[in-house]
Amino acid sequence: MNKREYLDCLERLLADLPQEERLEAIEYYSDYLEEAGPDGEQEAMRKLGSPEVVAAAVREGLGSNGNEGSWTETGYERWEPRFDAPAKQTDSDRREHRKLRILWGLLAIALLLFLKLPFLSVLGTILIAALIVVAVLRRS
Amino acid sequence: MVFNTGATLLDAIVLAVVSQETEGTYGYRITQEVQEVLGVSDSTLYPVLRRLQKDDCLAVYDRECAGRNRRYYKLTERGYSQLRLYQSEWLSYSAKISGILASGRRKG
Repeated sequence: MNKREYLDCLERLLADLPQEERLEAIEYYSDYLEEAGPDGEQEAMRKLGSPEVVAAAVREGLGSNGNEGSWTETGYERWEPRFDAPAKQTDSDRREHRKLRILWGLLAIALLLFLKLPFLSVLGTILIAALIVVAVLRRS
Repeated sequence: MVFNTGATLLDAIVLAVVSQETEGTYGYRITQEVQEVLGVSDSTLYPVLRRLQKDDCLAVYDRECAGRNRRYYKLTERGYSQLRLYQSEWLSYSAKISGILASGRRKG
């Protein structure tokens, strides 16, 4: 396969991509093979791998942020944990926090009822309790 | 020996390599330089360069060279900040890994 055939094949393999992406990729690999010079062309194509391999690499880069796999000497392999992002607060963490807050709210209500503050009627206590519950739920 | 290289680390390495030339550098050279450090295949670099370009960490410009066009990549402001971030993150991460590996005992 010569350079022209290689690039034509690659272009066909990328036909379903948006035009800009396809053109960028072809331009890159065309420049790349030219860089190798007429004598180095075959070797460069061999080192790149088949057009299928190159097309897969292009797709892989576009499909995700590339963070679903990793590169080894034998090629791209799926999934490796990233080293950068610290663990974010998970949903279960949030639920735990929420439960804690509700618990505190209920404790506050229980305390109020227990104290039976003289200037508060029963209705007043219930109203304050309701306000506390709403405030707690809003914050969580 | 092979340690797998994640996308993030590869991004960091590519940014570091490109940053070495104030005028930037081109795909073929970038590939060769990265391959001096990592055993990645030749087709690996394009998707990384493309993604860094779309993330505005790299800018491209064309340069006429011996009658043909050559596309150069160079770091943007954001690229430089990102590189600094990767450098500090790597220092702390690699220190942790080195520490834990060094604490591994021999059999006996």
